[in-house]
Amino acid sequence: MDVLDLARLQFAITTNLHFVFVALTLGLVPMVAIMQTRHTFTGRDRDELSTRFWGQIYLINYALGIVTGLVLEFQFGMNWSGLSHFAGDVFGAPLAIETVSAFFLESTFLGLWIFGWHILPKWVHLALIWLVALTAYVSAFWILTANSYLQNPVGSRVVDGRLLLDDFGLLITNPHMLTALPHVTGAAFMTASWLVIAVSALHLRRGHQVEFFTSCLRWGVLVAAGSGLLTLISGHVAPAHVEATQPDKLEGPMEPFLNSMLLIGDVLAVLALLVLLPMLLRNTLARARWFHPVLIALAPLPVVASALGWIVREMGRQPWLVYEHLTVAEGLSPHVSAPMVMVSLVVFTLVLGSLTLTNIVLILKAAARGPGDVLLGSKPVEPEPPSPVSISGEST
Amino acid sequence: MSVLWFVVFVTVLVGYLLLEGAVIGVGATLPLLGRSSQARGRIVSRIGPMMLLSEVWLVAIGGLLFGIYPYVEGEVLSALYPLVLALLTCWVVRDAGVWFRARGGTDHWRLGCDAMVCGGSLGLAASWSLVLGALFSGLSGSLVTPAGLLLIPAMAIAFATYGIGVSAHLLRVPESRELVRRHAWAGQMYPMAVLLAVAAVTALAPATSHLLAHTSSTNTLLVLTVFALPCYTLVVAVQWWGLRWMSRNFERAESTRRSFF
Repeated sequence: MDVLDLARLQFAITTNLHFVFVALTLGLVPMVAIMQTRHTFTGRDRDELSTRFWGQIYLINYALGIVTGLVLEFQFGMNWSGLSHFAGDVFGAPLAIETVSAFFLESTFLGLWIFGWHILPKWVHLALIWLVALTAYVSAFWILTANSYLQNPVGSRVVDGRLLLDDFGLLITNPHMLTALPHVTGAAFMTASWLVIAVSALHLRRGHQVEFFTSCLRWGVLVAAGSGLLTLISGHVAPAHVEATQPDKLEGPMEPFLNSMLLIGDVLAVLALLVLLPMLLRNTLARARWFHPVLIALAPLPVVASALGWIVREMGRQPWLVYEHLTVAEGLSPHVSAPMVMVSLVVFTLVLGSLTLTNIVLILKAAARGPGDVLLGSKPVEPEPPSPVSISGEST
Repeated sequence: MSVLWFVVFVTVLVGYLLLEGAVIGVGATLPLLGRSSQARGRIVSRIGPMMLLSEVWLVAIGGLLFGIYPYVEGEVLSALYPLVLALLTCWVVRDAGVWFRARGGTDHWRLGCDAMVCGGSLGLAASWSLVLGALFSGLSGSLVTPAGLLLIPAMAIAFATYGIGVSAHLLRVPESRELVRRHAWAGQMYPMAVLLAVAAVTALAPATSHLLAHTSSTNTLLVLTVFALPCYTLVVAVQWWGLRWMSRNFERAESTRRSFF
């Protein structure tokens, strides 16, 4: 493998990890916000418990999004300085705005939300999680704007061999972004909702916390049906825009990836809309224990489909880094050597790979333990005086 | 406009070193400040939320480099390749330690996470010393410069002293307060803050004209001024308020609910 292959492989591994785990984050945070909103209005213990239970899973997963995101951000400069040199004036603007006006705020609000459990006024605490959700989607908007510029470089012109920003309005109304944002949003909600469905099915099958997980299952199915529809519709609008600017993208080597993604997406959306949704009547789905193993087995599929979709989008523009302006080979940093990129590839893959495995194990453990044993927002363990209502007593 | 954004960039760099320097300092001195696993657990649970506020400053540095100084971004990061690799690795290890400590139930797990927090923080301090040293030498010749090597012990002491001060005055950790009460030198939070800020500005100073000469186009800076600058001031205000509020509420928070971290 030469230095170009190594640098591409490194970017592909990091970006795919980032994309699929951030999709879970993006899908879970509005669901957690809605659960907390219900709790704020109803005051019901069950709503607080579901906020804490899914909030904890959301937070465990959040770490992976941060670390892969930062590594990605610095990889641009380390391996792809040709890109920042040639297109940084345009491509850098949405990236800079994302870090300062979206992620900066998101992380700050999230820190305050985690700390603020039971000590902030409940409306302030509720506002914080909604601000986290809002800034997370603002972040997605800017990142997709940057990526869409690479797909379809609008709003800029070449001056002295470098791309300069010409029309910011065109940059943020790029059709590649406008079609991708609802599609990615739908995929994110699918990822999160099928996880909610699988975890609920796991507990219902065991007969644990039946009332709690029946309610979670209903939530999961409603979101899976809605997001399945959104993903399908936005996905069927996209090819027209793609073909207008990248005519060969969806044919040839990308076809198997595209078709596999479409198959998964179609099956999940149809299943949610035509089978699971009607089975919510009289809680048929919650009681159909024979069917629960199927629901559990389906949970990884949206993740696979997300990765496939991202592969089509990114590999489909090869050999271009900035479409029809800069090739991937030209984007490579001029002075980095193959051994250096090899070392960083091995280090990042080992570190991020082991974190990914830990993340998955911890999420599965937290999910399998159920809502009785959630740290986030739980009452402190005090030996004396013995508290009459401990959280485990409440929930089991 | 390019001067305005240079000033903003310097404030972000200084802000990063002051806030994240505190978290690095506390992490590096974790075994010293917390002699028992329980004590270390309390310290980690207190730096956890603060880390979410502080580490995004590094994300902002990366983003602003790309937005304001795209040419320099590629030039510097690819020139500093091994140091950036070390910095990012240590940073990921430190974060994982803080994030995962409360997730496992065994003593081994917690001890392993403590080692990751401490080792990652020490590595961050060392990597930053070498980065600042190399920047100060203008990236000519070897990355491991005499200035950088001299900076390692100096920065380690600065970070550690700063960390102890922060853990006593801001995180209000009882053990640190006791330590600071006994040894006045340990609690020097503000002089160390000034020292770190001076180190950052000194390292950046030789590059000033190079940065100003390679700033993004006026169009791009205008867009950043409209979309990013108001949010930056908002972040600073929210973090200022948030850190003060957290600092005053650790005891109350811990008697009300357990921490995620």
